[in-house]
Amino acid sequence: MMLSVEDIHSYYGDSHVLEGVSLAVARGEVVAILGRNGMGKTTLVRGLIGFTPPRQGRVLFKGRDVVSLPPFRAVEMGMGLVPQGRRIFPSLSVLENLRVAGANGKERWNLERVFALFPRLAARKAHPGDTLSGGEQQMLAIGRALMTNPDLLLMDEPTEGLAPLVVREVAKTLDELRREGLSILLVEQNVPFAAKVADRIHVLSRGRIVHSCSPAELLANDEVKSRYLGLGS
Amino acid sequence: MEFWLTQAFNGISYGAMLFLLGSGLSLVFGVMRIVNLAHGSYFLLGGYVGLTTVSRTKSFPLALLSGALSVALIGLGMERLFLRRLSRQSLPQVLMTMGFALVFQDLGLLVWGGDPYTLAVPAFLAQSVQAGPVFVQFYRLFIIAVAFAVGIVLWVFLERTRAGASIRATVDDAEMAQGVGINVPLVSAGVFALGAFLAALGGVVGAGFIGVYPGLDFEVLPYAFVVVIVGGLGSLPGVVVGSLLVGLLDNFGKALFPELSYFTLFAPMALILALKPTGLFGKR
Repeated sequence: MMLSVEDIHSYYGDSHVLEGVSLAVARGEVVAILGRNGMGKTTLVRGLIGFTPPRQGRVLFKGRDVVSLPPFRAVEMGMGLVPQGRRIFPSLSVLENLRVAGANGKERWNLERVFALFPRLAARKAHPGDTLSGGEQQMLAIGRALMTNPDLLLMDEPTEGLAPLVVREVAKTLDELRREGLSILLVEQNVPFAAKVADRIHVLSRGRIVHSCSPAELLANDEVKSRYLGLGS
Repeated sequence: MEFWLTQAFNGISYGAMLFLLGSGLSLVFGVMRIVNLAHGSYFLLGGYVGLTTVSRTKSFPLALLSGALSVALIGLGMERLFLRRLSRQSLPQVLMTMGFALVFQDLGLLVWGGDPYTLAVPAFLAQSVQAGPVFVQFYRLFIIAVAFAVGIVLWVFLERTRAGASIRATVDDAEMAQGVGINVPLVSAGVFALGAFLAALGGVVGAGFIGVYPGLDFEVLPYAFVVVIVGGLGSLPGVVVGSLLVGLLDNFGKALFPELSYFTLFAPMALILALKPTGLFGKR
């Protein structure tokens, strides 16, 4: 198992945000977590990478508990992060944004491969990171995570604020990465997008997983869609 | 004319010393968000260690090196053993650096006593020449040259190396820097040691110029903060402009309105902050 999350509880101050979440991602699998705003999706991602470590429960990454590790160690072990809001480093050029993430040695991913995947980044490599369009910033965020040579990619709302055409491009990229054998944990609000790229889906509501199913089942289940995902039937 | 040129030259050379002092403070704040009240102590201790080195070995270059390196080690110890435990807790951090500043003050008094000293600089730097209407002291030129060289090296390091890019990424977003695998604790320790190194280098250089004496630490500390706040926290160009501005203002203020010298320094700072709260080059 690439990732197994066992009954984690996360808090912000006194507020209990994740109330016992368990899930697993197998090698090469794409798992999507769907839910509306404020249901704990980003807290889940922050808990896995170690930004906001859960107070209870275990996060086993490749069999090792990473809860007490600093985030950069989890990244070194092969956990890549595409964060909510992209968080491109504004003082760094596109090239530098990629280079600072470059792992030493075992180069499965390098600048050439990232630029081959996203030719638009190559054309803008000398530009400061914060002058890119939203779609380009998302590509840079994905490219930057790939430069860390991940085995598991955590993606927090990669389609947020993107035009439909760009969303399609991101979906295409995810398909390519899946064919590479990368495992992906995707956190989304965009139901059609998640249903298109994921193998399995969990629905998160108020800090708990309330429904788990295949993409096809979710698309057919009007009750879950309207109750938890705010989609009219 | 002669007055203006002389004061401008003196102001620029004083600003050069302030650059050495302020650049480290700015870097440390940018990366770690630590308000380090012991930064003036690094300047003082650097001066004292340089003084002892010169009196023992008669070597000025050795004094620069030993002063800066020994204080860099002190800074490293402070960060790794103490400040690290208080990561991101600003009030406890400030109090701890204040405590260290007081300890260093007493340590200086204990080891070097209460007398003021001036470091003996090499003979060729102690000369001066008449250039037109201005009386040029070589040592002041030397300070400008050191600050210039340090500024270039820092710029190349920060802008042109991968380690420098990692530091800038950490300044931008320390959490996300960890999220792309940057060893932020290591970056922080390195930057803290570098900050202490630069302040102490300024202290050795300053010891041949303004001297070294008890109380110097808390005398230079406000200057360091004004430089960094005016220029913008965490910005190297900001420190360059801030230190020149403060050096010039301080010199002209003291020469023209001696009784108002603090006013001529702090009033422009208040004005700049009122108009641009992030300082001249600051982003946040």
